[in-house]
Amino acid sequence: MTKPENATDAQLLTRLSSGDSRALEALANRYEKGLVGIARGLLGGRQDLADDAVQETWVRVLRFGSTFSSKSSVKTWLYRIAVYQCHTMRSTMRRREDRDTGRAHQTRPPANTPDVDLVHDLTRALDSLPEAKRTVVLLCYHRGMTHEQAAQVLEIPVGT
Amino acid sequence: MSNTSANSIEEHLAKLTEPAASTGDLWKKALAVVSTGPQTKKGPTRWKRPEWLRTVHPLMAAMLVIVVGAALMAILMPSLERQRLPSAVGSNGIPSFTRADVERGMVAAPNSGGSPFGGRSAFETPGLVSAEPSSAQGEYEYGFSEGSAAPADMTRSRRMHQEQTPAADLQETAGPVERAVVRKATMELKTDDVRSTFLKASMAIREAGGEYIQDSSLTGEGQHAQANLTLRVAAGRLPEVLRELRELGEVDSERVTGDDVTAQMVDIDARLRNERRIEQELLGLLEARDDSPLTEILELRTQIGYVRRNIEQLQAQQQQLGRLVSLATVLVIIRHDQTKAADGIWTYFKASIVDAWSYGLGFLADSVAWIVTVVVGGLVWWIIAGIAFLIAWHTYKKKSG
Repeated sequence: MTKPENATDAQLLTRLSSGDSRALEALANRYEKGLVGIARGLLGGRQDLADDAVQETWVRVLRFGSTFSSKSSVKTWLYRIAVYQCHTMRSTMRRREDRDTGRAHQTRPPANTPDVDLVHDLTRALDSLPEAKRTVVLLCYHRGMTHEQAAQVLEIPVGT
Repeated sequence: MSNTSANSIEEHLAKLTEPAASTGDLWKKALAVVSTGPQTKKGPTRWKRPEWLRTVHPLMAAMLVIVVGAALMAILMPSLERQRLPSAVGSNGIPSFTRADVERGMVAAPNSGGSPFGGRSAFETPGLVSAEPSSAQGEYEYGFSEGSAAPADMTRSRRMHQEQTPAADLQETAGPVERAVVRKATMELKTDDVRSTFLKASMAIREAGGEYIQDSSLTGEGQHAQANLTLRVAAGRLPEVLRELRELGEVDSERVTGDDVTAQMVDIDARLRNERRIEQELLGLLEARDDSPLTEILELRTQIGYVRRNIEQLQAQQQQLGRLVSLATVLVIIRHDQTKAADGIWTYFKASIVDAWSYGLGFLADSVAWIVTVVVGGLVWWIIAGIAFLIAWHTYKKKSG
């Protein structure tokens, strides 16, 4: 049997379905950072929420890994789950904040960015976009994600 | 916007989703969550599919639900059908009775707690509507001169009765009415000796009780012999006569029908009573107007004649119906038993194949009818089940990414 590091994503997923937790570790080594990054972007820079979203993504991979149908790549599948989780968390968060404070939700920029003003403006501009368009922008500018892969994640044609 | 600032925006956009080190090994936490279950998380506990259910594919589960639904419908629909049709009703709207019905009295009302007409008002019976005499209007017109007191009284009286009859009279008498049913039975018999069976069947009647042979014929000889016999037997003795006839040979077919004429009887009775009342009134007028002109008296007599003619016609109809009800008609057809004469394996084989073919076609028709019933009858449920399945499938796909 090949080592987890050398196995393909599909092989890792098959091993995971058969109960091999090292396969999950290998998948996490490949994609966890990227997933946290896109989740952070989608959740307005909230690292804690991004961690929760990615953790929930792994939970779903563990539970539903056996149902993966190989119609798309494992990578886009993982991103699709993460994006869906972020949408769910974001809408839940907004509802809760609207109910508690009655104010519109305001996201804050990441603390470690050098140009705070530009990032703040960008974040506000992104926030003003509809959910779907915001996701498209963030996925397209996400490092390591091609436009084709972004289209696959969102299940829309390239160039939409 | 300059190229530099555009590049800067792109860089910052990329930084917004820049891959970053997480606060910990999220996959390990996920493993812990899955191994301990969702109850370790705060908040409401979500329903977790049991292990045995996880092995069942959603499509298989959906198919199972559909099959169980179809089976339930197949079980429930015939019972609902029976509920809707408490008694077998013929194509002409008249209940048809089976041999069992006859043997247990045949005339028992299916819903004795309701209308005496078996849950259907006598006034809705098509036959009753047409029973209104078409010539009545013509007969009710009187040719008296204007200003005459007698015709005015008579016309008023006649109109009053016209308004009352027949519905008003029927309503008055629509209490506990005994049902009147004209019973008819047809029996086909196979026997080795047609002639002797014919004679024995003829002896099933009791002439002393008013029963008689309405028609009889015996044709052919040997294996081609056939006898037809129409018996008129007392309605109460019909089950007994049928039992006797069954013992005379092998019963090829048997059919018993009942034609409910209660409504007609009630209608005739009401009209008869109405005509008698009119007759009494006309007679009263005739006696009270001795000094009236001769033409008016003659006119009154003519009208009394019309009314009496109506009464006689109605009485004849009543008697005719009474005879039909009191005497059941039994048609007996006796044939030679061909199967016994030409007994052999080949004949048996052919007959079996023919029977099997007929039975198969019948079963095929029943199956197609059942499928059509389930598909068309349960269309609403199929649509609901389909939508539910689509929603469940969509939710499942979303959850699994």
